[in-house]
Amino acid sequence: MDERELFRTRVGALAGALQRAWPRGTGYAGDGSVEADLHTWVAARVRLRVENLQGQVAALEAALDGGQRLDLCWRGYEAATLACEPLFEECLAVRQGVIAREAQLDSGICAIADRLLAEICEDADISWRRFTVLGAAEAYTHLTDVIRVRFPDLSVWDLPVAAHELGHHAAMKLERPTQGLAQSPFRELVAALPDECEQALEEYFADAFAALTVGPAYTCTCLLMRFEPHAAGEDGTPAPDRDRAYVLLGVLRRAVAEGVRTHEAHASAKLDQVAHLWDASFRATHGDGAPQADERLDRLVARLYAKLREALPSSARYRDSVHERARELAPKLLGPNYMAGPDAGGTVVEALNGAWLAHLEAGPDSGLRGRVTRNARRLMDALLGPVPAGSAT
Amino acid sequence: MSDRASLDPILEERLRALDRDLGRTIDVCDAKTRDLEFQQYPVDADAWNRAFKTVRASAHTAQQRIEDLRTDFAEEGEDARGAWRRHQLLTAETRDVCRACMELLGGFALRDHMPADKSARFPDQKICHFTEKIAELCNELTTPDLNPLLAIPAAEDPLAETMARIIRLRFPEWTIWTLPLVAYEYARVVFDDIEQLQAAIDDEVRRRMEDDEPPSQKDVALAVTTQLADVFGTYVMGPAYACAAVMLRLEPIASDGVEKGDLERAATLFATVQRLYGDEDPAVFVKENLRRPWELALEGVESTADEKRIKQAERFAARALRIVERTTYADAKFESYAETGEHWARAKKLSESWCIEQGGKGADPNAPKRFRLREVLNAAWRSRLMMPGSREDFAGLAREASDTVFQREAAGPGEIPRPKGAQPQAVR
Repeated sequence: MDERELFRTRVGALAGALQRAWPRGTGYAGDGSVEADLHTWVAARVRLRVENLQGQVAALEAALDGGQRLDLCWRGYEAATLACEPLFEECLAVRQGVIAREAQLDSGICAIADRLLAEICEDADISWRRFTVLGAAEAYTHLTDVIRVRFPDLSVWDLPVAAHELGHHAAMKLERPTQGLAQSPFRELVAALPDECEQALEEYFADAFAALTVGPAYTCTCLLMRFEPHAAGEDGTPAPDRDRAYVLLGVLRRAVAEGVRTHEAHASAKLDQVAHLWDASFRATHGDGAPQADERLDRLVARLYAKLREALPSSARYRDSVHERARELAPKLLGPNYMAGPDAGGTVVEALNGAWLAHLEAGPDSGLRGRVTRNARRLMDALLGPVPAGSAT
Repeated sequence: MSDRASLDPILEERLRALDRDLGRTIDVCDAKTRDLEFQQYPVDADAWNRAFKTVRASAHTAQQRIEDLRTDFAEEGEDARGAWRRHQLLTAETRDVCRACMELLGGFALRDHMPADKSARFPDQKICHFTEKIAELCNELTTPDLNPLLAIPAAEDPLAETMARIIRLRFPEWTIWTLPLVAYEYARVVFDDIEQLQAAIDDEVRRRMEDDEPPSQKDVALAVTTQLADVFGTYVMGPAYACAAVMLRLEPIASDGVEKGDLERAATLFATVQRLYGDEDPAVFVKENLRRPWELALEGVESTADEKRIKQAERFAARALRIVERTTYADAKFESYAETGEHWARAKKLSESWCIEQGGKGADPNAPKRFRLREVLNAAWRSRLMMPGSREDFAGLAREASDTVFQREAAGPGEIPRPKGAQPQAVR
């Protein structure tokens, strides 16, 4: 036994943990279920990462055998351990999420989220062959591309946030076609705004992506249910809620002005209603209302809108036909005897916006809002059609 | 609802959403959202309720706070700014409750899906069974009136606070080698319930805070709690605990310049073994096969310990050992020889038989036929340190032996722990 024995043991344990993190072919379904998708779509990416880390661990052993100084070996081990942690966390989270979904602990909301994201991907020409699972927080990780839906927010009102998470994927994958090589709008944005923090820009980009693709429904969810009016960014958050709200409203107003011409007055009035509510909360906590003009953010809004407009076809952006359908749905969703049949038709985006219009119409009447919630869920279940229990979209 | 409350519909909307989330969480805790029909590993309602008890209570408390906020806002003159600040705290509280619930739910679901096939490389469900067996043993020997704890896989560091009274197995470290560390997890979960141990921690923290330049009280409390858990683990699990901690957890080199206290933990472990076993075989084994490589590793990385803190840890080990001894029942200590319960001598014999088998001399006819789980784990670690090249084979043998113990004990009632004659006394 020598001074290297402890190191060898530790490296061996790490190698064993990597083997166990994502085992190959052990009793997984091949029946079109989410679990099968997990292995079809996610496994290759994870295995590649595992193999890379295994190489890193093997190099540690080789360095030790090659006479490398022990303290440097330990430093290398520390780095390898740190690199493994996110992999282990993701492997566990995805696997738990898939199993929880298979067991229908998500009340079916993940299937609706999958449908919503599939609609957006198809219209926006983004390849995202993944699925959503339950998680402790909404999240998107580059390691697996799997999007997590926050437990226990299993209602239709939280669904638009999944589009924001897809926006993080879009930041990396969305391309603007040119005659030559395709350009990444996000990278162009980062290059055009060198003074802005890239992490914050990605957040704004994801917000703008969701606002453009899902429309007012995403803005309503953020401003009425998620953003904190008293969080003004004093804590150093890269993209404070105050600024995100400003950017969201700015981007959406431009989208409405350009794409919702027939119903512009109605759509703008509804946006004003939401902005007014946000402003009132902001005023209550700060004394002053939400900022009405900000040169830096205005510049950001203009750039974001321009870049996304170039990359997203009009059929992927919020537009007249979607708003019209949402307006048709809203009174039905407020009705006491709404029964959405298999012929309900339409898209999840339309249903979400119809639901939010109905919600705004319902005002503070909690009974009426509850009815809208139930009706909206019925509609979305009908949109999905009779799907076998536990299966993906 | 009062006029004032209606002034801020967004706040009302948020409170309603929080209330709804907490309600759903309570539904999960009450198992209203689904039948408890886990396929491979059924969880009875009693175990489910125990695991979710604190989460459920926390969710109810948070709901009450939401109600209080509404009342204060409507009737007691709470202003909007104050209400929003309280909402911020409630949001964080709700997030923690929901996260704990999700972790439990995901853990139970994943545990149910662990393959039973031991050839699979994915961690199998038996590790959860073994873990719970050790937690059950710790319970019997320490606080039989407490309900046994369940084990689920978890990603976060086990040191993280948890609302759930549950043993968290660090993913993907589910191997026979980390099982002795379950005693540490157990201690971390139940320390709050055992007045004597909590008092010992408070006393030691006070003592250390009187130093010239003490670290923050939070850091001191964490260090003391960790060291007491190490003493408890070594007392109950024997040398296997020290082996698992030193060989698989403690780092001889400070991480990014941040001293995690691993050198003090190692000193605590070695001092505990020394005090427990004197110059008997377990202490000699640990000295030669564990302490030596640890010290060599420290020399290899030129790591120097703070002598004062090492002495402090060693002195605390002596005090902590006395407290653990008084707080637990007679069979709790992993003995050196046959006295009251499980012991090193039998573990050593089992280990020797495994080493003979691995040395190519065939199965040892004198191998012990009846053994207990703690003995198996000690035999495994002894064998591994004696013949490091056969680690995988020893893991397999230890798994088989543990399974034998598990099946045998599942078939018949376990032994009732024998009190030392008096109830454990609080130590001040």
